[in-house]
Amino acid sequence: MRSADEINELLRPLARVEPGQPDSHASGAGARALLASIATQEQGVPAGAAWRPHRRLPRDRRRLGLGLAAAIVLAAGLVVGPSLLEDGRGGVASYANSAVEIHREGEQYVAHIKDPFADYGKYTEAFHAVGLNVDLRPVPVSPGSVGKILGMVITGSAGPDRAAEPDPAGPRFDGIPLTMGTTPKGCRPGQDGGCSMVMRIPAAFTGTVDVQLGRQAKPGEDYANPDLAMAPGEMFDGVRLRDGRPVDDVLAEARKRGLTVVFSLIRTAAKTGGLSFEPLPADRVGPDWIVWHAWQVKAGVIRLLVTPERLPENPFYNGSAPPPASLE
Amino acid sequence: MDDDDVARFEAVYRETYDLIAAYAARRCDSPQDAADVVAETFTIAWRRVGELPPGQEARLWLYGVARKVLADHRRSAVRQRLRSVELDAELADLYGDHPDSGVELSAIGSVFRSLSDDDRELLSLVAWEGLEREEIATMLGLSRNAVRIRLYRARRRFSRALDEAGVRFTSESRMIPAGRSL
Repeated sequence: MRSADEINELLRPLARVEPGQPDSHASGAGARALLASIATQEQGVPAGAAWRPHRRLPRDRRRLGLGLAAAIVLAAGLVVGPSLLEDGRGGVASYANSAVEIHREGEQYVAHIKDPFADYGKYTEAFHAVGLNVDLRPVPVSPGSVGKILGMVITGSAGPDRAAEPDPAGPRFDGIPLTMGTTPKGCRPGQDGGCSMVMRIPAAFTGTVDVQLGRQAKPGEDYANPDLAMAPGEMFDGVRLRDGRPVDDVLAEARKRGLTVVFSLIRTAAKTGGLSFEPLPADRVGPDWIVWHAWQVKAGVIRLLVTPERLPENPFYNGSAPPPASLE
Repeated sequence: MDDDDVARFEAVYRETYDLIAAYAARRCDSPQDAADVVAETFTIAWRRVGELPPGQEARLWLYGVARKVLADHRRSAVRQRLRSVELDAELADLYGDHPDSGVELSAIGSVFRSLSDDDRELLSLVAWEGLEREEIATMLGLSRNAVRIRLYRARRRFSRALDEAGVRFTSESRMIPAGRSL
């Protein structure tokens, strides 16, 4: 039988990491990112009860010191070499051009939209540089939708985490939501000085995402979010069309708000019940026609969707989702 | 749980990260698996920071956690998703840097892998992590005598397996299968 020393000598060369004091990786970006993400988790959960960060954290949870968070921000300046992952993601930890500035904070990439009117190619360039396949297309919207995601198509990833209910924060990847917001929080981009849009993308996200992002519309530019005319803060905020209202009634309302009105005729397909819309000159619309819905066209202009006679029920509320405004 | 515990976890993390990363890398086939084990081990330590023993024993306690995590991993292929691209890359460095990456394929490697998990772990803890018998006893929650006996038996089984495979030493400690000339 071989001695203990002999056996150790035999086995040492087999160790993937040479025995002895290994090189310090504890200060590396990966070690710090892990520490930061662990520290966002609640404590006291029995091991094995839940491996993922919980969605609702108790109020008394603790986080590691702020100094650590600062260290992670500093780490964003590091250039991370191409990784050996299968997805081949390799990129720098931060990138900036005239349109956007992206850096890594813990388990997220944070993209500050510096110029919402830039050519979208500028955004793509920056996202690709940090290894993210994000196709960000800002579209002109009314003030209430600036900084919000109008639509998002996710492909080629393992998919978001499965959740019993959609998370209002956004789809999550490995527990981290993909979100859009503003900084400072709650400010109005394009209206408040120093207010900009911020997109946060989980570092674990390996797929492709196409995002339509609401940006402030230039003067005279058509809105890409026409459906929200009656949403809080928008041009027709507080107007109720659920049961249909006569045209002259709604016209009075629009005049009171200083809005210009255009019309579209609602057509209902006999077989399918599907809706279509046909622009109509104002002089062909009678005062007793019925308004069933309103779209915001651009700043100061509202489109009323009308029929010559009263319908048995509002076609926008008959159980099916309202048709996209682009059908007009 | 108080602020002292938080500070202590941070300190222990910095002191032991490399040790746990090396432990995982020596035992996992891929850097991604190793990153999972590291992430899970420290996640458990964070949740159970109150149980983290003081001083040098923290290291042994973490080795013990890592060992269980590794066993769970092998059994169920559960994936902890805290790892990041950077963490994977760091662990991949541990794999890529090794000059003898092919050594696992050697005769001694295959003999070693033919041993039971328990035997392999005991021998590795001594040869790779450099742990003393007392430390292994603490880590595994066994008596020193039990560790002594188990180590003795593991070494005996390993020696026999090497003999049966016809592996012998050369003066440079390089292993060659018997019957083949260099």
